[in-house]
Amino acid sequence: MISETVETTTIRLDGDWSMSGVAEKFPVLEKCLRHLLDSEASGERQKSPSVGIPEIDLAGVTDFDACGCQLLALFVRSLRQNGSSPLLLNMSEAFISRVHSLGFGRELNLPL
Amino acid sequence: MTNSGQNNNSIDLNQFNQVFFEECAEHLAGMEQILVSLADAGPDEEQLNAIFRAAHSIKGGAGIFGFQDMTVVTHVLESLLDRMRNHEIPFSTAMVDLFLEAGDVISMQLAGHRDGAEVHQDAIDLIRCKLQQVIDSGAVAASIAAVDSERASSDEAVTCLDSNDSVAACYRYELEFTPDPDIFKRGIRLESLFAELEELGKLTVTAELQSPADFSTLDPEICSSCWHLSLETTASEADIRDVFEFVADVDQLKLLQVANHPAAVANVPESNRLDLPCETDGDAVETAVGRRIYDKNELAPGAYGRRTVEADSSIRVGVTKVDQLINQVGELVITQLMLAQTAAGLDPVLHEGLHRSLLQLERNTRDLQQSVMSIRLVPISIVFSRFPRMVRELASKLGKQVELKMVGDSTELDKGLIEKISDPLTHLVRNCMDHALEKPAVRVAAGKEPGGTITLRASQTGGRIVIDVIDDGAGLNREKILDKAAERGIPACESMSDEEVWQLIFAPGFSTAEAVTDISGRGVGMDVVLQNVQSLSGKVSIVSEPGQGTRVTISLPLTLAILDGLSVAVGDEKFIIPLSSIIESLQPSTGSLKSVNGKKVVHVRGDYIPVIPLYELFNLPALVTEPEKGILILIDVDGEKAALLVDALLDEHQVVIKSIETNYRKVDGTAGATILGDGRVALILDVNSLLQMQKKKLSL
Amino acid sequence: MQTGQGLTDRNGTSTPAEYLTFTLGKEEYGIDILKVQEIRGYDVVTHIANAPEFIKGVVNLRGVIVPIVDMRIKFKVGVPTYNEFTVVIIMNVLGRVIGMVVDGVSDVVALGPEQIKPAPEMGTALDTGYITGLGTLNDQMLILVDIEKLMSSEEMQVMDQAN
Repeated sequence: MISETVETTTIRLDGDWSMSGVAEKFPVLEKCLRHLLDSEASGERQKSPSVGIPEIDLAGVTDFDACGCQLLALFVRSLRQNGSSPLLLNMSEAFISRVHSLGFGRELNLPL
Repeated sequence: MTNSGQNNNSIDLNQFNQVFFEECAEHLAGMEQILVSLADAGPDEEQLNAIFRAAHSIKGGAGIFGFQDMTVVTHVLESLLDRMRNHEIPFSTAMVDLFLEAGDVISMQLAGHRDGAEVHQDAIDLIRCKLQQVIDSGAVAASIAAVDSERASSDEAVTCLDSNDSVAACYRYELEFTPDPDIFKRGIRLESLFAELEELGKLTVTAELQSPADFSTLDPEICSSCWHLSLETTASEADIRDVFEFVADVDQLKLLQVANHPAAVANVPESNRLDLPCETDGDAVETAVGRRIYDKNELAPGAYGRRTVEADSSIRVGVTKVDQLINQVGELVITQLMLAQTAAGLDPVLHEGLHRSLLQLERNTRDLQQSVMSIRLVPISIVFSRFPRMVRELASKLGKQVELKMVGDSTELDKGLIEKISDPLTHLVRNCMDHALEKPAVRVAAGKEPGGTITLRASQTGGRIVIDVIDDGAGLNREKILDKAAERGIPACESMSDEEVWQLIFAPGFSTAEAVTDISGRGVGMDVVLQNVQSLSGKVSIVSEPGQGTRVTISLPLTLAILDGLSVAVGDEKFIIPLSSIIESLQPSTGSLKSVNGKKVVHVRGDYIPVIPLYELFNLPALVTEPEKGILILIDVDGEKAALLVDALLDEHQVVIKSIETNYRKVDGTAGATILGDGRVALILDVNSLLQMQKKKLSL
Repeated sequence: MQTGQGLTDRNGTSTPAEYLTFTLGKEEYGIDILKVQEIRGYDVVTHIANAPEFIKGVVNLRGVIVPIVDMRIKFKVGVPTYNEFTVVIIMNVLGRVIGMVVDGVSDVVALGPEQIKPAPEMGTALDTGYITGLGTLNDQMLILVDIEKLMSSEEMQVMDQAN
């Protein structure tokens, strides 16, 4: 049980996170979310406060626009609403500045 | 799901690209219009702003819609104009040509994207260099001379203004941007949009996310967020709105100006935000939503530009939709006629109510038809507006001084006509420039002003549109035309009236230019003008006075879709003859009919007019084969008269013209067909082609 | 149906197609049903000057001017009478609407590729060039017509040849 609390779930995102790619990416996120929530639900049954911190690895993201940014932000918010605070990993400089320029910095808790 | 999403995407994108193309073309036209209207004095503040805003809008739109190549020239152009606005670089007349050239290059790029037209990269590079040189040098006279030595002259304008003027007040604006949910699908790049705002000043962006009810059901391609933007800038509200021009409707962008002096910028209290009442220090001006704000700002210097009140209250509709509407109303008119015909057989006393209602219906349908037809009408200024620049350029090329006057450019005519009349008009204006107007020295020697005048005048008289192209040049030279005609083997003689001689210049292959120039006079010209105009059921006439000038008059029907006609019977068939070509109809007496060389002619008021029996021409079984037993309809085709023999006159109608060629081939002697009150089809006669048919028949 | 179509596609053969069959004289013809817009009775036509005899003229079909071709006259079969039983097949061919008068309309049939044989040179009223094949249905021979090719041909004189 303890091991479960320190366990992390890594979600690797890659490829085209722009308008032309989101439709393809969305089912993946949706499945992830369901998986995380399910395990959380089962965790609750076992009276465990948390299943672990989801990590979102963004190293493989090639394209990223406002549409993709909105989807990522919505995903992160949905996770938070269900009690887990995801960590964003391996963000490129360009990625961070794009997020800021689109005004999603605060929503995604990015450093300025 | 992915597939359908992408399909939508591409369709939507094209549609919005189209809007961008149209607006871009409008901006270019607007820019050009201002440029050519500039006198040597240079643009005033307002004009300069308008040109700047046109360039700026094109650049912004191009960036947002992903036409990066179009931003290159517009960017340099915009930078130069911006310096000029700030009085860092003074205006010089040579710049007008430079800007016009830049406009051409942008047009070329636009055509490349829109129509796949060829794009010359060297032209793009060249104009970019030229513009950049002007910016770099700052001192215009020198740089312009280097760029374009031929144009360099002593007339570069004015000195730099007081430097105080260039320090503009800094404002802070709070923007609330709630985009259209489809904004992503439209292919609009918010990154570019925000980057463009950032160019105006210091920008902070905060996105506000809308929590989905359920993550699994959300559509990732729909934009559900809105944005708070805070911008510190010297730009005006209109400048900011311009950035959003292609992106947001008025109600999608709320704009609040928070402070209007530089000192205030740094210390605007956090509390003075959009959602609070803005009386805080009296500086805040509520400038949300709506046209009222625009109207007010229209008066402000920076606000002159595309968005006029008119533009706000009009919508763009595809021509096919309008045509569909016109067709449907045409059907309605036919149905109404059928009803009227049926009711005509009913006792007017017993059915008084019905008759009254039918009369009302007739009025209503006529009104409706007129309103619908008027949708297709556009002002002729669309064609006229291309001439100032053309005249300006030709004048300098030819070494002539020309003033162009345009009268009645708000006269409206059918969009289909507008497109087809523009080439003939262009040709006529070129002709005036090249042949008719004399060089200044020649004019002075003849006791005239050194500068010539070309007047374009449009007006509506009755059911026709009349366009005059008038010059005060040398006038047509009777002898020269006759000589040329003889030389070219065009039948002519000394005894011809002036009017007949002038008509000779419409003969194919006729050209009086002494030297073939690249402006006009390649020998294809006036005959093409005549053909084009005739294909629109129009007429061309010429009045010319030696030494005084020439007036070419084009007269066109108001619309191509409806025609006033007379229905006639030949055997079992009914035909429609356009009223515009009918002189009169008569029942000939036996004495007035003669036979000349085996051809039947009718003697009317001293004229012998050839008789064309329609039944013969159309191979129809007719009731009447003897002219004295039937009716003769006198028609006039460009001065040539003929008498059509028909069985009987039926009625006068307004008919909706339908094409036979949609589903069949061209039918000789007809100009289309229409549907009569009884639902049957009647052919509309083309008197011009009837005459040709008759001549061919007789010559066989 | 989806699977069946997939299979035949993979075999490189076409699926059964539907044909509207009609009689002209003693022969039975078929045209692709997808080209047929509607079937109407014969209405009064407006004669077109100097058109060949088999082009009867034009009619008003809900505001559209439609030419009417009488195949019986064109191919010299049957008796060109016009009464309440005269049938006009309104077709959509190459973006044009054209009416065709025939002796009678019989049926709509589906023919699989195995039921269609190539047309031999023979004495049909119609030139072999316009025939896509011969179909057999219940021991009856059906002449399948390439109506687009026929209607756009110079000999029908319906369309301008420039098109």
